[in-house]
Amino acid sequence: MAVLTVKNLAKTFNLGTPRASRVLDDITFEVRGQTFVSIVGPSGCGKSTLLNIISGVEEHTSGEISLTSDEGRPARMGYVFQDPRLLPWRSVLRNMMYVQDDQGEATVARARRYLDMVGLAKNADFYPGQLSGGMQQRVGIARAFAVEPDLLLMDEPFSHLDAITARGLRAQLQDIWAQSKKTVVFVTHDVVEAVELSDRIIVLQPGGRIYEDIGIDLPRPRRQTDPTVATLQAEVLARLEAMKELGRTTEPVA
Amino acid sequence: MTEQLVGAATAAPPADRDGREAGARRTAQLRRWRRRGLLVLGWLAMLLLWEFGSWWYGSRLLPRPHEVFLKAVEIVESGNFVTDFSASVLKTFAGFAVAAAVGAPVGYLMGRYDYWRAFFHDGVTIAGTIPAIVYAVMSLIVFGLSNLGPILAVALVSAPYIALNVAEGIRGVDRSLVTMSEAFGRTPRQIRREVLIPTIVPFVFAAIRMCFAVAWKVEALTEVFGGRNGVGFQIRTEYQLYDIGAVLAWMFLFIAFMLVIERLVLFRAEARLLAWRPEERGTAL
Amino acid sequence: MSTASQATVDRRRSTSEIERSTPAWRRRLTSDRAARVAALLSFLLVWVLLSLLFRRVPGPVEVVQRLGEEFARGEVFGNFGSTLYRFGIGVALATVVGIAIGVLMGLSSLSRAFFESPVLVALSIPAIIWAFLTVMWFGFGDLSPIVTTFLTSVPFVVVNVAQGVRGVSRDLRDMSSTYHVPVSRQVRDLVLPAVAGYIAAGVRFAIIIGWNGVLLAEWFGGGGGVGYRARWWYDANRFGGFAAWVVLFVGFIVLLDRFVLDRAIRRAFRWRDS
Ligand SMILES: Nc1ncnc2c1ncn2[C@@H]1O[C@H](COP(=O)(O)OP(=O)(O)O)[C@@H](O)[C@H]1O
Ligand SMILES: [Mg+2]
Repeated sequence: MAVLTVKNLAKTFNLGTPRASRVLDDITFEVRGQTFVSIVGPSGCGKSTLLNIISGVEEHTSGEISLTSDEGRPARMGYVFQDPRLLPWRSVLRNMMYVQDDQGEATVARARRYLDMVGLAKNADFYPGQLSGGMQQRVGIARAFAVEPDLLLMDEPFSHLDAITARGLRAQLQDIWAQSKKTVVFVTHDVVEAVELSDRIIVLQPGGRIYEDIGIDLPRPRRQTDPTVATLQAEVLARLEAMKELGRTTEPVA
Repeated sequence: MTEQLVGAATAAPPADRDGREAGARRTAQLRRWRRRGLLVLGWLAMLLLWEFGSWWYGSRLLPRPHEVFLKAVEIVESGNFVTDFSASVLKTFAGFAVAAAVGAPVGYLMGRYDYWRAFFHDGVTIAGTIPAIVYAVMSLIVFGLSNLGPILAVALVSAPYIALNVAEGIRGVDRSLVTMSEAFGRTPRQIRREVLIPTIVPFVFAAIRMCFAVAWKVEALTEVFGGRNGVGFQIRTEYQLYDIGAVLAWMFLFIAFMLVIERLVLFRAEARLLAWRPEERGTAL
Repeated sequence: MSTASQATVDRRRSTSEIERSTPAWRRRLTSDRAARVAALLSFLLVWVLLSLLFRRVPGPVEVVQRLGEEFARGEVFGNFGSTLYRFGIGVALATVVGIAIGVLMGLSSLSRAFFESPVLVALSIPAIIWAFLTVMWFGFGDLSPIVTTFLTSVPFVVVNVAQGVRGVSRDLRDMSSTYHVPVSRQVRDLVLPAVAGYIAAGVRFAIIIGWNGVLLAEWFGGGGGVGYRARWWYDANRFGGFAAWVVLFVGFIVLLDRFVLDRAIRRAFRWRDS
């Protein structure tokens, strides 16, 4: 069944002031459990806003949004941000425990396990200031998985990293996801990355509407060197070129 | 592989590097000595000015430096400075505690909620511009000749600073960390404890450091106006006896003592609480 | 919530829903203006309560009465004038000297080494000591408050200006010299705008400190002025008169701060806050 349901969602910033700007407009989609969904679109089209609304950090202006969990408790969410967002005054492990409801031994062990998965088992007691940007981002990923979320949101988690680090982390993310099978909504502006990681790609167009919803049916694990992956990537890219044309022709009219 | 490349690049220093650096090192050394010399010169200029003043006004109106120094030694040797010093220090810290207990929550409200910001803003800024003498006399009017007067004066002077700094600190809180906490469903209480308070600690210390320099002066001032013990009381007594040497001796002893306290207590506490800061990384590792 | 499955559904309220559910009276009551009015009322309330609690604390009514008496007696303008005169000269001197020394300290590390300790010592000498000394040196005239004001406030100007000058970006100065910008234009377009805000902030601090100095010197001197008059009431054990002078004086400081200094500082820091 659907974990996340979004219906006719709209968002206008600075509502009721002269600076009002509509960012999302009539968004409708559902996300089923245990799938990896990417939301792709050029920067500024409202992807982060959409994630913030789903996570409850931001209010939506109108429309409906609901989250479901199977176990008779409020849905739990994990969020990996574009920047690491770690508390600089807490050690890595305490940063991971900060977002946990349960502070028991078992949870600590789970946090350590995810920390190990991202290769930072040895850095549990470091302060974030003592880690490189890539390491901090890995802590952010481990933190999000460690809350065992019903829905995991990721907002361009690799866009601030250099290409080599980002490729390593993408591979790591695929492995962790394969083991845990969380429901993921992954935001990126990078189509190639989206094809590599996801089961389904929702394309957002400028103005905040859904342009296309593409299923990606490729075997896992996927590697960038795999020709079938590359072919599909090229195909999706071509379809997005078409969207850019559309944006150009409709802009003056709107 | 990349490491090897980097290593190769640095592994071959120019043969006569030491020779070429010697000149630069000598220049740096010279510059350091010149700085030190000027530092000493600054102190000498001050003493000279003082000596000149004593000569001009006569040593009754402005005692000469060594006379003041001897007076200070006398005070220290007689040992009766201990009770006055501890009385003054205790009153200063008590006033501080009151100021923090009132100022920090007010600052928190101001930083956190627009309503309370509008509510307190004018009052707090006005309170911060009122001269210390007004607070000193006001405290005496309220409490008369008692130890509570200086405590109240210190509290009144310091509380606005603390409130303004805490408010500033809260407003400077990294919004993205609060967002992160909310996204992970943290309660307001948890956010307060783990995000807001650690953020404002450096601001509180800045406020305390700034305040402390003002606070002990106000404390002494209040004692001058109406204290029954403490450094200010001694200064007034000596002034009434026209013993300016003793007035200055008490003052310099108190300044020295307060500087030491500032270094010992405040710096230590600050270094411990702010160990996570990147500047301290070297010691933390 | 459906009964068919065990799922719990977490539904969020949208802005338009929330907007519809907050009544208008509540929005008006939490506005900034309401907060300011509430603050003023609470201040008066606390004052009245304190005056009831401590017999020595004069209430608002008494203070207003005394203020009227003081005006009627013609004591206000003369005393206020002489205090302003002394204070003005002291702070003006402190500003000029402080800027000169501060610029020197900011530009050259050698002069910084020389002035560092005197400034540190000057910062830590309490105003009361200067008041005592100057009253003894210069007697009860204008000179004692002027010198006290100057000596207590000058180190604050120095520290602020020096910090401002040092903060003028090294990069920008290098840039200017690579483009051979003439020195006069460098000072006008680079150093002055960068330092103006610090000068203004230093002067503002010096003014707060300077008031304290002038009042203290007048309190212990005998040459008239606000401090002298306030002491007169205080010694007569009529605290209402003292409080009246405080209200008058603080009112003046607040107006000066708000309408002159604050504007000046905001103008000077315009480039930074935009
Ligand atoms: N708090 C805000 N107030 C006003 N406009 C905003 C705010 N946050 C984002 N926006 C605007 O909303 C649009 C979408 O932003 P965002 O969701 O961050 O885009 P994306 O993540 O797709 O790059 C941008 O045009 C941005 O300027
Ligand atoms: Mg974004």
